[in-house]
Amino acid sequence: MAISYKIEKRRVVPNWRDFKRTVNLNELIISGNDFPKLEFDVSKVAADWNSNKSIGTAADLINGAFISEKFDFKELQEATTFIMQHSEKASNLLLDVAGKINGGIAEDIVTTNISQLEVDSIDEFQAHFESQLAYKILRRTKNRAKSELYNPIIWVELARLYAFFGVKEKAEKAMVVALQLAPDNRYVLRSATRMFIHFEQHEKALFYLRRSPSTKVDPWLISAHIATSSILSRYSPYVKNGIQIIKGGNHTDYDTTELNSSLGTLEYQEGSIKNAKRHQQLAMKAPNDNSLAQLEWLSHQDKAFEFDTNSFKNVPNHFEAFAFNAYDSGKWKDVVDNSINWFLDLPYSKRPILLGSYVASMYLKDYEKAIILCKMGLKANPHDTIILNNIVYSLMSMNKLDEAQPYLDSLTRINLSNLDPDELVPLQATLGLCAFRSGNVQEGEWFYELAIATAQSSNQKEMAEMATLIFFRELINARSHEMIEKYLQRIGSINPGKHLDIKQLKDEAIKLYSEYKANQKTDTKN
Amino acid sequence: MEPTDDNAAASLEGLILNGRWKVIKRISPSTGSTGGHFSIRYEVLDTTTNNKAFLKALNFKAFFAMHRGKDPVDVIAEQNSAFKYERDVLQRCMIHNLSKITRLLDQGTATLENFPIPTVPFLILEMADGDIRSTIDFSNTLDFAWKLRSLHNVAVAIKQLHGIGVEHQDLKPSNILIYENGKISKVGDLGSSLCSAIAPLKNPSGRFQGDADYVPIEYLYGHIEPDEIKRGRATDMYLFGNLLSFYFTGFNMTNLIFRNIDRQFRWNNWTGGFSTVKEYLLNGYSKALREFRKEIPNDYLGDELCEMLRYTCFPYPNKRGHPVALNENGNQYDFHRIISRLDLLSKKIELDLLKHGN
Repeated sequence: MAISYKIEKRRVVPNWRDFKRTVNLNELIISGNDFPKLEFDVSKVAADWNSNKSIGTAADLINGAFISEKFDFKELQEATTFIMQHSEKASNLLLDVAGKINGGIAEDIVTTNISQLEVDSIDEFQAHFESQLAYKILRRTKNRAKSELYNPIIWVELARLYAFFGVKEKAEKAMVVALQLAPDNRYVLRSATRMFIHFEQHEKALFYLRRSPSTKVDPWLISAHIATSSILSRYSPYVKNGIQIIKGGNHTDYDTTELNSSLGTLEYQEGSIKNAKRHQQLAMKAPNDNSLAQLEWLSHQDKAFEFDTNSFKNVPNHFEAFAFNAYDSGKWKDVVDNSINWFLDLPYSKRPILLGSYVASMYLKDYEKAIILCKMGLKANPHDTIILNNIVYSLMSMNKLDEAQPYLDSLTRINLSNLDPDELVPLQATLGLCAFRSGNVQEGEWFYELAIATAQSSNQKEMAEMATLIFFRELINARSHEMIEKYLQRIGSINPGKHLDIKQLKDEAIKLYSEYKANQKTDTKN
Repeated sequence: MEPTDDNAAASLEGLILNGRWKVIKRISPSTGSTGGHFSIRYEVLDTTTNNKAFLKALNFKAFFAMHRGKDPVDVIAEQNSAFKYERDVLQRCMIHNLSKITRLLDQGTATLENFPIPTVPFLILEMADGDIRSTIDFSNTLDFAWKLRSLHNVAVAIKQLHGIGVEHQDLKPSNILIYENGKISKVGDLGSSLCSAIAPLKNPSGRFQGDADYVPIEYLYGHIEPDEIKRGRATDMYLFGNLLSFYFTGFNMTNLIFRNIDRQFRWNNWTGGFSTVKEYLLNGYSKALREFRKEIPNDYLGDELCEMLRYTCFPYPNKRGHPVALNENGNQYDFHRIISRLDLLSKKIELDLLKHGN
């Protein structure tokens, strides 16, 4: 059976996106002390233009207008028209800018998001489906990084691509270069934190955060430190700084959303629901995707926290929170759609893959989609037991035995004694499915019963019920009459309660059984 | 700011100054412009040689208009001091025979009775054909050799200035003057320059002295390099890179960087200061270099100029300079490598043109 896992303790670990999308989310804006601004006077270059109209003075005028963002004066319009009329004397750059100013879209020159100017993001999106393109992007980024040894941003991008391909060592090396170039930069530090946590190198994440003086004063970095410390069951020394920052009120609500969310989670874990709620309320004044997902998670832990998707539809990249919320409501298609968007937003992350492939295969029976998702996830996590399990489950459900074989081989190489029951139960059940679909009914029964027993012995009631329901389906498909009757009573005793996932599986099992019985009667009559 | 009839500085036409210079006519600012909108310019004739020259008369009235409410005594003292400074720097250049700086031919004070301010200090400089803006174009087909030769002249000028302890601080297209039908380029307008030997306390705040349209990017975010000499030299180096970018694209490097960063990082939107924005500027600068490179079809020239732009306009002032010079104590911002490279490049391009022509 396919499976996803629910995080026992979710922390507000920074998400790691490519630079352009991080910029677009306004997560890099620094609220600091302003500095004296220079004054600009376009009248001088305008006078020069008036006394000598040439491509040189026109360019000079455009430079003055562009830097000062003063676009509304007649000389500028004249100069841009002049440039366009003498295009043979202009560079492509000059023509581009003159054209935009002349066309009345001067604001575009300074407001256009850089993502719209470049194709990297679109390429990268396609790269999830086309391996060749993915490698092309990696190669291009690698070459850029080599020629821009001074540029930390490109090294973070390279690390992210390596992480996406699951090349851990190279990803780490690239990130260390970025950290050496920019040890205090928020984007670099948050990306590094996320990467080191992804690679389970929490101490390194803490080391680089602690080393930077920015961590003392930057709410985004304090939050990252609190979250990372919490994973290691430690108390971050920056909690006090965080509380002071929030009390100080010198930062925007958006700047402190993750910090409030982190502090709220900490308070919750320490049993102070009142303080936890207060921080969560502050976090939700201007939430981002991460603080939103945190609230969604908390809402499962304690009724004191309420999560209503309607209030947060405008939060960019709300996919994680919305995916889990849709799961609780049994809106399976929404779960898968949000999981895909979540994955595209954070392509190195395996949680959206697990959730999406699990729901697509188990409840929508959309095995093709589940397989695509798993294949994407395996790029960054080629040895992940659950992703391998989920892809085998989908392929076997479609009776694609040959295609499943390589993944099955990878699974069987796993040392089962090292697995938690969370991973072991679905794996045993999937091996049962493989046996059933290969015609080895007895072996299949043995594996499924083992899975159910494993789940029961580790008090995984829901998992035991799920395995039982899937097993029942396979028994019907295999027409294993005695066993069907043996398990019928157990199926009847399953009480899904609020669990819509179990309910759907039970409903399907009962329907399948009715069809089976009806077929049996028809067979007897004939 | 426009001078009127009650302004002595605007009434010099017809006079003979210092018994030698006949004031012919007022000229528009861009003809042989050396910036300085607080001066009125004239064409003058050297009565001993019949050569034309350029007169720059200090316009007190413009200062009063600019600084309304300020004590006139202070304004006069300030402007006298600025004028005296420019004169002294030009004299210093003259004494040292700086060949690529607009030459000071004479200086003095005209006295015109019946004017509220009767004295008009003036400088007489060699007359240029114009500034590079009147000659340059930004097409891919224009004589690159000319651009390289002109930039070579500018680099020599900066090296000459640095050699006598002067940092120009206001390199921009309107201050690059051309002579002999464009064969020679010289640097003009030393009014914003710094010279500790002449005026050690000219710019105690360290703020940018030149035209804001061409400002090195760090100043826009309030960053001021504490070491005065380093600051002055790093500024000149960036301004030279700005010019290089302008010569080939029509865009200076600061604007090229701004084209390649998100609006939130622009100087007028950012409040976090230079230390928090510098990596994002660096990322924009990398993209700007790629944009610049695309504008030059000749691969060899494009790569060479892109490399020169890379180290002259590095956004961090302490990392500017030729890669080899970065490790040379006290030599980081020296222009000698730029000069030899431009010399080589211009000769190579000229040779290519000759070969191509043959």
